[in-house]
Amino acid sequence: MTMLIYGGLCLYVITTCFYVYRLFAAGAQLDLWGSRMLMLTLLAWLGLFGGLGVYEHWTVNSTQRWLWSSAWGLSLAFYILRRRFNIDGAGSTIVGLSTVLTCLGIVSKHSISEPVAQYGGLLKIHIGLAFFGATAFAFAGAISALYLVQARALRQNPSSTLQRRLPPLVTVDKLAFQAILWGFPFYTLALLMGSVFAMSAEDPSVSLSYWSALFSWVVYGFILYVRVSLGWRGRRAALLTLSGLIGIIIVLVQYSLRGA
Amino acid sequence: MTFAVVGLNHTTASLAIRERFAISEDQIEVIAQDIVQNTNDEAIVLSTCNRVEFYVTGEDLDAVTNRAKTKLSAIGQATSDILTKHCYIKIGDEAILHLFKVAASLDSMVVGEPQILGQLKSAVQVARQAKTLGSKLNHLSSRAFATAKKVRHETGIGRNSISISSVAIDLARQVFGDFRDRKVLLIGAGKMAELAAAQFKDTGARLVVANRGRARADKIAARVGAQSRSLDDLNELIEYSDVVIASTGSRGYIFDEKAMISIMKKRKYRPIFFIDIAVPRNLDPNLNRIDGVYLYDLDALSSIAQDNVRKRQAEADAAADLVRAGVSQFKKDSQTDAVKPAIIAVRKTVLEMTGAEVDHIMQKLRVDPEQKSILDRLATNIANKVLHGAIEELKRQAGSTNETERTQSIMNVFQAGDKVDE
Repeated sequence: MTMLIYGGLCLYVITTCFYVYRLFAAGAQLDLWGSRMLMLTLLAWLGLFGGLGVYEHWTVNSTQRWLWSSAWGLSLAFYILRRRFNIDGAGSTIVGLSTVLTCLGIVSKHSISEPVAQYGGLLKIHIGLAFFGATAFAFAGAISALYLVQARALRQNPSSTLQRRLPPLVTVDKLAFQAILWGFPFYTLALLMGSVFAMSAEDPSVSLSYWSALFSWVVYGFILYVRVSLGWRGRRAALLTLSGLIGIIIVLVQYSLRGA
Repeated sequence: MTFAVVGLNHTTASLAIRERFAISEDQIEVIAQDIVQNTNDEAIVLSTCNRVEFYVTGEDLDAVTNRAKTKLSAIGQATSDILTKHCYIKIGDEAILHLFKVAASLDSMVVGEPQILGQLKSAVQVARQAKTLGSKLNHLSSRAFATAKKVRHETGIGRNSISISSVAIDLARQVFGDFRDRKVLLIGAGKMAELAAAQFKDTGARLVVANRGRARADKIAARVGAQSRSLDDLNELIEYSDVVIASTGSRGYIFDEKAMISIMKKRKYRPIFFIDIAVPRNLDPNLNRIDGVYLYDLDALSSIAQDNVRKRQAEADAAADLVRAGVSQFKKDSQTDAVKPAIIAVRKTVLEMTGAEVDHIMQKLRVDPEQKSILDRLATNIANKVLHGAIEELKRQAGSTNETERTQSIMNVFQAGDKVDE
């Protein structure tokens, strides 16, 4: 089973490398092969998820399941959206982030602490909501990074191949905003439930991840506020989204590794 | 099968000379018919701003080439000196390669420009209407088109824009994606701005022209299908625009950083794309420092265009390889075409023999229709296997020095001598 998981990780790595190569090389064929490669990766992981459900001796903890699901969901969202919005250039960061989440899942040794485990079903809902929200924020963060690269390329090196291979700024900005809009309610609910669990836990690392999560929530809440009321967008919004993503990554790393 | 091309182009003749040889659209059919002169010869007349060329073929290639040359001389009212200096005659492989290069836009003034393929297709269409297009030139031109398509698809020869306005549109597309419902504001009504506006209009954007003299703005607006406004409303116009093209004759900046900062707040930081094609510049270069504002002046756009020309030139080598491969494949296929009658004759003879044997067996064995079809299939399969080596040998000999002799001997082996052209 471990070999299969590593095989799945390799597929993510190869797809990411392909999308990074695509940024610097031209050719319509590359987009076609990129989408085929991504499809293969998604199908392989779907098979792995099926295996995890069927074979009981393929034991993985819940954090691993959620991290791999998030990674898969992130790539699936990209696969679906790339057809509509012509955002193939975003594959480098989005599939790259999926790779990071998958790695995090592999090294994760998290086991649920006794006081928190008593919440059972509620805990599963909390984790599900948190991961859905985090996946949406991760998507926003990944494409906001591209916004910054594209905006810079347009000013400093407008004839570069890279500039032409990245998606249009307005599309990236719009998708980042929509991803935050989708993720925020889920993340808010998860945070509320998490605060209840945090109060009942004595493990100090729970509160650290709680504070990191709260930081991200404040950042994304602020982004939504300034975008809707003041119309902020562009570079400032992209930088804020990325800073929120850092908070999310801290939460995920904390959550994944605290059993170590 | 051999071809010739007679003509002149931008590399051999100046604009003044090319003007003398220019052919209007309604003359093309007549000229092609004059070259062919009711024979079985074939002719395509291609006339663009950069070239006038006659592609010809026929049983007597020298005769049809001379007629084409005489016609060209008559069109340009040119002396033999002018013809010798500015015109070229290419025959055989050289002519084939030339047509493939022209179709692939490797012989164009701007390498990789896409118009030439369309012009060449129109020329072929006109030749078809004039009944001067036969199977030979039709085959040649369709293979040249296929190679040109391959070149465009597999190399980056046409990928990078090389005119100022198309570079600007490409850059704006990297900001906005598409131009549906985008507003393009034209400040000033110069010739360059009008050209750029016309290109933006083709993308589906809505155009607004603002000029000091309202009459001039109205005139341009009517020409490019835009609204016209007074330049007094400049701030308001910029607030609601996505792309701004500035080309006024003003000596100073008509718009500065401070004004733009306040407008960006009002437009809720929606990105805006400025193209300053005026000399001296109309827009403060510091605008580019504002988040969401992208400003390109004439120098920036020209430098991108030049960069793209270099990229196209680099792709031209790969394109030339594809063209050479296309020409070589065409020549090989043409040679195979020459032995086609022999292949058909040999095949027909052998299939007739096997068919006769099957009929003979059937009469003896009294087989049902299903068994008959099995026997037929068996006989055909055996015939095909026996013929495979002979047909491959015929194709291999195509175009070789002893082609006729070898073809005849293979036909004799299969007793197919009298089946040719039946």
